[in-house]
This record gives sequence, structure tokens and C-alpha cells, in this order.
Amino acid sequence: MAEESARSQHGKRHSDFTLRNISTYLILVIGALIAMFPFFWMISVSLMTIGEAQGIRLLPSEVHFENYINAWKEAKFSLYMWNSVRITLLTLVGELAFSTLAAYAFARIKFPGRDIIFGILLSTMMIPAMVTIIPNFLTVTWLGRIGPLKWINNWPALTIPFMGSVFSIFMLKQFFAQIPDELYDAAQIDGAGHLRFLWSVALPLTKAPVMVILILSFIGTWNALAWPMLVTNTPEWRPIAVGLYSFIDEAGQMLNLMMAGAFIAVLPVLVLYFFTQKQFTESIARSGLKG
Amino acid sequence: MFKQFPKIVILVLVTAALMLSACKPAATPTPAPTTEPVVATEAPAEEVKPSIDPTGQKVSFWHVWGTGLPNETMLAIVDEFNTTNEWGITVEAVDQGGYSDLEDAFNAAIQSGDLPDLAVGYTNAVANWYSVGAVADMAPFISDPVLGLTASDMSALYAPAIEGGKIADGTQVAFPISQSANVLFYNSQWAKELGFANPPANYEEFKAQSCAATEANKNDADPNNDGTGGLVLYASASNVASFVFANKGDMLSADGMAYDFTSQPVVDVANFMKDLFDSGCVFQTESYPNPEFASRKALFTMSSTAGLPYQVSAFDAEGAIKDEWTLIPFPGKDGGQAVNLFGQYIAIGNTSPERMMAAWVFLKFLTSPESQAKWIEGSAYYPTRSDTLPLLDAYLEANPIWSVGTSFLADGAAEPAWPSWTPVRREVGNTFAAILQATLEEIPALLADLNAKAAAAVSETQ
Amino acid sequence: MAFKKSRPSDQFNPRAWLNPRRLRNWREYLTGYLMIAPSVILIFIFGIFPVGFALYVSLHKWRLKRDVIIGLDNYVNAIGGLAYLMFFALGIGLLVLAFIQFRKAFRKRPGNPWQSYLLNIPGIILAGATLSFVRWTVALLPHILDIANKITGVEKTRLLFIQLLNESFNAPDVLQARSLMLWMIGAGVLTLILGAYLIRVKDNLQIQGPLFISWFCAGTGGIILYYVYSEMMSDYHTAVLTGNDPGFFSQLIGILSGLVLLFIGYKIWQSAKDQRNTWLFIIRLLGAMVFVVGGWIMLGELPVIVAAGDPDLWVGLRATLFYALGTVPFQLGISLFLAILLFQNLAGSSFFRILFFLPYVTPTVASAAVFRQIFSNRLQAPVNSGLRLLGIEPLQWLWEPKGVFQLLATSLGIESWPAWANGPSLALVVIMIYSIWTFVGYDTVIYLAGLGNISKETAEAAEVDGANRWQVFRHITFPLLSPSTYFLTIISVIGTFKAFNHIWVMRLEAALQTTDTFSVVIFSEFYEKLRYGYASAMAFVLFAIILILTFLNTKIQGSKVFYG
Repeated sequence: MAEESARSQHGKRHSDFTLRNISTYLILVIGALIAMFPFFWMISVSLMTIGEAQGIRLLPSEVHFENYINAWKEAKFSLYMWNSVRITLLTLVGELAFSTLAAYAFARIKFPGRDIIFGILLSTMMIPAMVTIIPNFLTVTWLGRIGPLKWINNWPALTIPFMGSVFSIFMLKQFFAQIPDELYDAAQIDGAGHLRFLWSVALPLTKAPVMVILILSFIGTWNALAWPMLVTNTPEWRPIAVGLYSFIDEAGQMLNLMMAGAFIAVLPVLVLYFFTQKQFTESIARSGLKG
Repeated sequence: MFKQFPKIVILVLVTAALMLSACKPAATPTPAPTTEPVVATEAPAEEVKPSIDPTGQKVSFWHVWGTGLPNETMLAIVDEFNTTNEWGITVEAVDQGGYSDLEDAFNAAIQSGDLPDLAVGYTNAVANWYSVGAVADMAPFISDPVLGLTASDMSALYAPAIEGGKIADGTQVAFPISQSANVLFYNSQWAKELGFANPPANYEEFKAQSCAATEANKNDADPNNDGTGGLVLYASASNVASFVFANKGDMLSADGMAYDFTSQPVVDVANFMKDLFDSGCVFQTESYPNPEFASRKALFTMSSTAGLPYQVSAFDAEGAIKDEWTLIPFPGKDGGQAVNLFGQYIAIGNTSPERMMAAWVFLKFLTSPESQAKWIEGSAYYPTRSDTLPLLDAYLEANPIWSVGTSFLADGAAEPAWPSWTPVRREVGNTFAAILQATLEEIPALLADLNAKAAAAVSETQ
Repeated sequence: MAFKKSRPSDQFNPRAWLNPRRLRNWREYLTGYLMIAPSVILIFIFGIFPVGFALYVSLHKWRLKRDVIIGLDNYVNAIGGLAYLMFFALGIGLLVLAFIQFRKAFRKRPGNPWQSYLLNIPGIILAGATLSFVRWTVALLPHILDIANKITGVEKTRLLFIQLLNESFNAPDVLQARSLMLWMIGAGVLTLILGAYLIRVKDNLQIQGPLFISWFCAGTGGIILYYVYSEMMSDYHTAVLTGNDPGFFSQLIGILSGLVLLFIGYKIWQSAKDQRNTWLFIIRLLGAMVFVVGGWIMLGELPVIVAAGDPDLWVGLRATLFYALGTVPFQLGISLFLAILLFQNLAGSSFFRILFFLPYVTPTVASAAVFRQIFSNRLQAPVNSGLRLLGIEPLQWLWEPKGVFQLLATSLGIESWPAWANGPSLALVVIMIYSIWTFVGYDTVIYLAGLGNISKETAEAAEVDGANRWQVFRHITFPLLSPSTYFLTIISVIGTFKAFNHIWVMRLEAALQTTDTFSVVIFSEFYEKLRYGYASAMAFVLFAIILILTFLNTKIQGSKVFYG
């Protein structure tokens, strides 16, 4: 693909720039149309009647917003969304706090066994998740039985296991490692310890990776299905994916309602992404390269 | 610009802390000391006492009816029980999603030991749970002198429904609160317009009607319904079983000890499904074809009777064609009638004796004619007791299509309540999906292969 | 991962062991450990313990409940005689790792050889302590799992749980394992401190660390090798008793020697590249070919062994390979192309970037559900109506189990198409399209960043020298982008092996399991067939494959990555 592109540009090296720009735009627009078609179709069908949804139609003959109202009422989306938001925030706070500390130590403090511990942590990223669900469920049950916290059906089971995140540590470590030693030496002369340095110098420099962790863990929580299903059995703490999943199951026959529900569930992520996309693309790119 | 950042972090932390403190009281209620029920101490004043005293127990009930009218009805029945029962038993109904989600949750609970007191499940799943000691044998509860079932209760219960909850050795591991049947929805009005006065009685007539409908949709002016019209064919194990039962056949060997998918009735079903598929007179959809059936895109659909309310509401949707329709049993090769019966079975988790007895008390309440009548009006299932029907006169009147189904209940069969049915029913679905794609000559080999897989599954679960 | 810049380390003063500098070092260590503690503890509990638990499960017959220990049988059922090879290789690998760590430690050894030998003692004891900790957990685990049985049928209270937990911790065999563990840990710590105190060399702990790892790996490797050997022997004896030779010894030797021959061939091939004398070059080339052919012949046993394994697993593996081959190159190619277009910084290119990235952030359940409808087999579904508009026969898409090449051949009128050339099913191709759709945006962003890192001068200088755009791309841009390509390949290949959610949503029975990749096969064994032991064994096979692929990728591609 890439080679073709370069080849197609080859002959026109000295040709008119506008012509090349036009062809570039043409390709970009076609690509964007393909990338956007599923979204367009989802929204379009969500505004149709069921009969139209099943026929050959790209646009509804008249807009049926009541599909959204029906879907919203049917699936308790407001409760599920609020749950997802608070689960995400709780996870995020713990994840950021713990990962920042660990990443800083891995990047800037020299202690025996550091590289080995980090290597072991990294290798856990390759384990297929399906085998770890049952043992983790047992752990969570036992923690609830013997400790003072209620775990099942409550926030600890949904958030605490995700607070130790290898990915976040890895990502933040890359950024901390880039901070020049001179900065630290200067801070040390001023009498600042590790924590001070971390808080006042290092952390403010890592806004971008924090954004990445924020949105990725937001997506993660928004997508989480199997685990929340297992550790909750009341709607009180169930997140949006569980709601959407059972809604799709229930409304499966009503394509238009299903698409309305899907769009309701997708929207918050899209909105969040639009607001953070600059930092997000910036730092996802940087993290990728230094891996 | 970075100076703002620590502030943001603090803000997030504070918000989270606030949220935590806000959520905590709701989320972690300190287990309240079990309040002694007022009535309970005086209630069993008779000389005969129940073998175990269920007074004041808390019972968790895992079910699969989390949405719509069934949910409301079930919660209302639970509420009624909680406020009126003389033992001070409190039932907490917990929606666990679908049947397979509930199964996953129950399997996890087996690992940890935190079993629910009551759980809805397919009988093969319950058989699995029983094999690892996670659910109770119901015999002691059924025969309890005070809280058990009376002789008149027993005679009112439909035998097939009760038998369906027994595993191979005759142990009652699950109890049905209602039942349903796998049937065909049949658009009789459209069929008449196509020139068929009666529902199909055998394979030949069935194919003829299905093909006539497909032709009609292909040849009309509307391109939106091309390829539709006939049966919506879905080769799941339950549908295969329905066809087999309609042939007066079974998927078990003659001695009832093993699976057998090479008997003539099963082979006939395989050949028939293959024939239908190849004729192009059937089609498939991603999900329940209720909208298709409500708009003359399907002359027949396969459905559990539990799907009736959804089909009724599909006819209310905009663009529906309000035809007359009815329920018919699956066709046999030469006109069999037996349907595949499903039960809404409930098992008692092996918790403590007192809690199990309390769970039974609720289960018994749930299957009493009065509760059953309410449940049926809310769920469109069918009763498991003959003495429930008289309470349903108004409902029968208002739901003529539903009442057609009551005639099927006498002559039905159930899928095997074997632990191995869990993997085997998937293999059945896979094999019949493969049969549709294969050639006619390959069918015997595929069925023999299915037999081998089923035998392996049986030996593994023993 | 290596430490890049250590601060100039202080002159070592043998006189004062507890001087302030040393104290400061210890405090530094302690700070480090405390800072990583919360994350490491959480990851240990929720990331590493489950893996150990799964390994434990995989050695049992375990259908819903723990049954008897059956050793490697689950693995043998899954991949036949290769199971022994897998564990054999694991044991050997650990021994090699031990050797490497040992050599690393001895590069730093102090002058006096006696001291360096003595430094092994704490390492050995601590390695033993770690293994005795593992032994203790293995002894404890069945007792704790049994509690689930003990509490069925009785009233559950917190007191009861704590009492039962106490009982498990105090079971005779657990106590025995515990006292051994405690003694070993005590002795280990004692010798560690003694070693640090008596043998006053710089970086004492930096030597002891690798030594400990080395002994731990050696011990674990030895145990695994012994275990595999005894498992093979017992299987062999039962097989001989029933009168049929399982033949896995000859298979094992065959495959191992095949691999060794391939390796030698590869080495000779490499040396041939540098050979300037034409004759010697040809001779080496021929020699390499002989070894490679010999290796392949020895590996000829492989299909026999493969046939002994679980067919579902091999079908799943094949689907995964199709999936990887059908997604990774296209994903990278398309995104590289888009990145180059976007990099020209035309007006609105950031807008396009946002659009391309949207699929990546869309929740899987929702977008996969949409794809299911778009690629439905209904005549009215979007793709099929498009085809019909163009006058093309509509297709079955997600419902089609037939291979794409087979379909193509049929439509071209080729009657006898060989079964091995069927290719991935059309249903799997739709899932590939979904995967490409999802990940192109992410890859593009990574490539854009890679392009941003290439200095403009290099390319401009080349253009001045008369290179055309294609030459600039081929010889400058593309090589300079190799770190991005490398990173994306690794991420994507691992991703394909772990891919699950979207496949599960789009999977239809009518596609006859042609869309079931390895992860899906494992999931269905676990959750549908409840074969926990077998599914766990499969998961470890998958883990081994991912590790091997990552390793190979690092070796092959990594050597060509150009770090400018």
C-alpha cells in the first residue's frame, strides 16, 4: 500500500502542487468516508422506524428521536453511565497515584532487583485475561470475607484490581526517564527529596501521558463487561457496557432501538476524545516510539 | 501552562474522595442484626412441626427476568411473599442477566462457596451443579410434613414438567415455576392469501408453503423484501430437538443411557433442514425475527412461546402488517405433533438447612396457583399446575393466540437434563449448521461424528 | 531497560561500613521499594498470582471443581508430544538464563576468587527460600479451595471464615512447608547481611542480585526438567504396559535435532553473506542448504504430533495466523500511507486525523454490533445492497464459512480448487476488516510521530542529490521509520493473539467456527464446556506462542531496526 502511494507520487514530482494536493485530499476524503460510514449508519438507523431499518435505506424518511427516549428509558442508561463514570474516576485516582510512584522509582531510583521486578511486571501483560478471571474472583471474595471492606457488589472489586497497571507504569516510566538528570541534581541541591521532586517538577511535565492513561482507562472501564458482570449482581454498581450488552440482547430485534442505545453508549467516549484529542495523540505517539 | 496541573490532580482526588464518602453509606451497609419476626414465634403452634425451622431466614434468588413486565411481576410476587409470609423470611431477587450469565455467576460462586439460595437455570446446568454438590436434592422439602406438597398439589402438577427437573437417577434437582414450548409462529392470513387453507401437516406441505411465500416476496414490486418470505431457519439445538420430537423421535438411544443422533427421526430432520436450506425458501436473521414476521417477510418463525409478548408488540410497531396469526407445532415428517417443552426451573443452592427450607417455602409460594396465575399474566409462560388454568379465564379470553398453546402442553418432551447436555447442545448446533453447508452425502458422517463427540462428553461428565 | 546514567558513584571506603553515604544508599533503596510497593503488591495479587493459580489448575483434571492431579495430560491432550518439548524447552531456557545471569554477576566479581564463591551462598539459600515459598503456597492452596466445600450446607459467618482460614494455615503439611520456608528465609537474610558485611566489595548487592536470580532459575529449571522427565517416563511405562509405544522420545529427539540443524544452517547462511570469495560463498550456501533441508526432514515428525493434539486448537491457531497475516500488514501499510499524506500538513489534516482515530476509541460492543448489521447476509444490508446496486451477486459475509480463495475460484469457474488453498473464511475476513478499521487510526498516529522525528534535512539533502520521491521514501524515510514499524508489529501481533471481544460479538454459528481464533477456543473451553484445567493448559500454550513470536520478532526484525 505504502509503496503504491509513493509510486503514484513519483511521476508527478515536479508537477503542479495543487493537483497533488487535490489527489491527496481525494484519498483522505475517501478514507474518512470509509472510516465514518459505520458511525453514519448507526446514527441514521437509530432515527428510522423498524421497517425502514430493515430495508434498503441510507437515511430515514423522517427523523424519529423517540427511539432515543425509548432506549434511554428501557435500559436505565443514566444509572449505568453514572456508575461507569464513578468507577472510572476511582480507578483513575488509584491508578495514577500508584503508577506515578512506581514509575518514578523505576525510572529514577536505583535499587537492587529493579530491572528484574520491572521485567516480571512487563511479562504479565501477555497473559490472556480469560484464565485470570476465576482466580481473581476468588481473591476478591476472600478479601471481602476477612477484611473490613465489602468487595463484591461494591466499588473495591470494580476498581482496586485495576489500580496496579503495568501499562501506566510503563508509559509514565518512559516520560520520567526523559527528564534530564541536571534537573534532579539541581533540586537535590535545593534540598528537595524524591517526593518533592516528583510532585513539583516531574509530575507537571507528564500531563500528556496522564491524559493517555485517563482516556485509555476510561475506554477500558467503558468496555469492561465480563468482570463487572461477575462481581456485581445488582444495578447499583453495574457499568454501561453491561447495560448496553443486555439492552442489545433485549432489543436485538429492534434494530433502530439497538442503534440508538449503542450511540448513547458511544457518545460520552467520543466527546471525551474530542476534548482531549490533542494531548492524547501527542503522548500516545511519544509513548509508542520510546517503547 | 503546566502549573495548573497539580491543581487538577488535587481536584480529581477531592472529587473522588467526596464521591467515595457519598457512596459509602449506600454501598456498604453494615449488616443489620437480623430482626426477629413478630409472627414467627407463634405461627407453628400445631403439634406437627416442620423438619427444619425456616424462621427469619434471608434468601437470595438469582433470576433472569431483569427487564419489562416479567421483571415487574416477579418483583411484585417477591414483595408479596416478603410482607405476607408467616415465617418472616425475606427474599432478595437478584437479576443476573441472561441464562448464560447466570450460569457463569453460579459457576464462580461454586468456586468461592457463596452460593445463592435459589437460582434459575436450564436443567442441564442444574445437573452440573448437582454433580459437584452445589444444589440440593429437593425430595426432603417436597415431602416435609408441614411445608411440603400435599397429595392434591402433586396430582395438580403436570407430570412432564416435574419429570423434566429430574436427573438420570431420578433425583429432583430443579422445580418448574412455569413452562413454555418451542413452536412456530404462523401467519395464517397470508397463507390463506397464498392459497393454503390449513397449516402444513407434513414436510412436503411445509416446504410448499415456505417456497410460495418466498416466491411471492421475490416477484412483488418491493425490493426490500427479496430473499425473505419463508421460514426463518436457525439450526440451534432446541430447534433441532423440536423437529426430532415432532417426528416422535428422541436424541437418546433406546435404553436412554447415551445420545444417539443417527436414528431415523434425526436423520430425517437433517435431510429436511438441508433440503429447505438448499431450496432457498428459508432465510436467516441476526436476531429474533419478530419484525420480519410482523411485516410479511416470514411466513413462519421458530420461537419459544415466551416470545409471544415481543411478537405482539412487534405488530404494534409502525409499518407492521396486522395479519391474523397463530401458533402451530413443529411439523413432523408425516405429521407428528409433539412439541419441545422448556421449563423455568429453579434449583435450591446447598446453603444451610434453615435457609434451604426457607428457599423452598418461597419456591412453593411461587408455584401456588395464585402466584402462578400472576406470574403467567406477566410473563406469558404456561402453568405447571392444572389448577392454575381456572384462575386464568380472563387472560385466556384476552390472549387467544396464547391460549392456542395450552393444548400443546399435554403432548411434549423435554431436552435431556444431563450435565453433558451443556457441551453436547453446542455440538448439535455446530453440526447442524455444518449440515446446512455440507452436501447430502456428508450428512451421515457428520451425524456419526456428532455421536462420537457426544459420547466423549458423556464419559467426561461421569 | 538498562540504567542509562548512574550518578558518579562514590569512592568506596572499606573502613566505615555504616558510614552516612551507605546509610543514604540504604535509604534510597528503601524509598524505591516503598514507592513501587503499592503497584507491585496489587499486580502480584491480581496479575501474577492468577497466573500461578492457572498453572496449578492446568495440572489437574478440573471440570467446574478440582479433581485429581493429572500432570501434563492436559497439555498432551492439547498439543500432543509437543507438550513435553514445550516444558523441556522451558527448563533448558531457565538454565540458559541462569548461566547468563551467572556470567553477568561474575564480570563484576571482586578480585579475590574465594570471596566471589562465598557470595553464592546467600544466593543459593535465598533461591531455596523462594522455592520453599512456592512450595508453601502450593501446599496451602488446596486447603483454601476446600473451604468452598466446607461452607456449603452451613451458616456462613465471618468468624467461621477466619476459623477455616486458620485451619488451612495450620494444616500439618502446610505447617511443615511453612517452617521450612521461614528457616530458609531467615538463613537467607542472615547470610545476605553477613555477606554484605564481610565481603566488602563495591556493589555487593548488585552482584548478589544476579546470583540469586541465577540460582533461582537454575533450581526452577532443574525441577521442571526432572518433572518433565518423570512425567514422560510414567507415560511411557503406562503406554508400554498397554502395548503401544507412544514414540514421543523419538519425536522429541527428532524435533530437537531438526531445530538445531536449522539453527546451524541459519548461522552458516549468515556467515555466507559476509563471504567475498565466490567459491567459498557458494560452498557455504550449499552447506547451509544441506543443514536446512536436513532440519526440515527432521521436523517432518511435526505433522504426526500435530495430528495427536486437539484439532480445535490447530484450527484455532490457523485462524489466528490468517487473522494476523490478514490484518497486520494491511493495517501498517494503510496507516503508513495515511501518515505520509497527513504529514504534508495540508489544511484540515488534524481534522482527518481525528476522524481516522475515532474507531479506536469507540466501545467494542457497540461498533462490533454495527459491523454485524453492515456485513449481514440480508439482501437489504448496506454492503449487500451496494453489491446489488453494482450488479454483483450478494454474499453471505459473516455467515460464510467458505474460504475466500475458494469463493473466488468458484466465481471464476475453477472447479477443482485444492482444500489447502481455501484461505480464511469470508466471515473471518469481515472480522479482519473490522480490526483494520479499528486500528488504522492508532497506527497512523504512531507513524505520524515517527515521521516527525525524522529530520527534514536528510530527506532534503537526498532530494538535492537527485533522488526522486520514491527513492527518498525507500532509502531514507522507510528505514528511519523502522522503530515505529517494529513497535507496531509487536503490538499488533500480540494483539491478534489476544483478540477476543469483537470476535465474540461477531461470531455466528453459521460460520462453523472458522472465525474462532485461539483466544475464542480457550474461552469456549473454559466458559461453555467448563473444562477449567484443559482451558488453562491451552492458555499457557498460547502464552508460549506469544513469547516465542515476541522473541523471534526481536531477533529478526530487531536486528534490522535503525535507531537513528
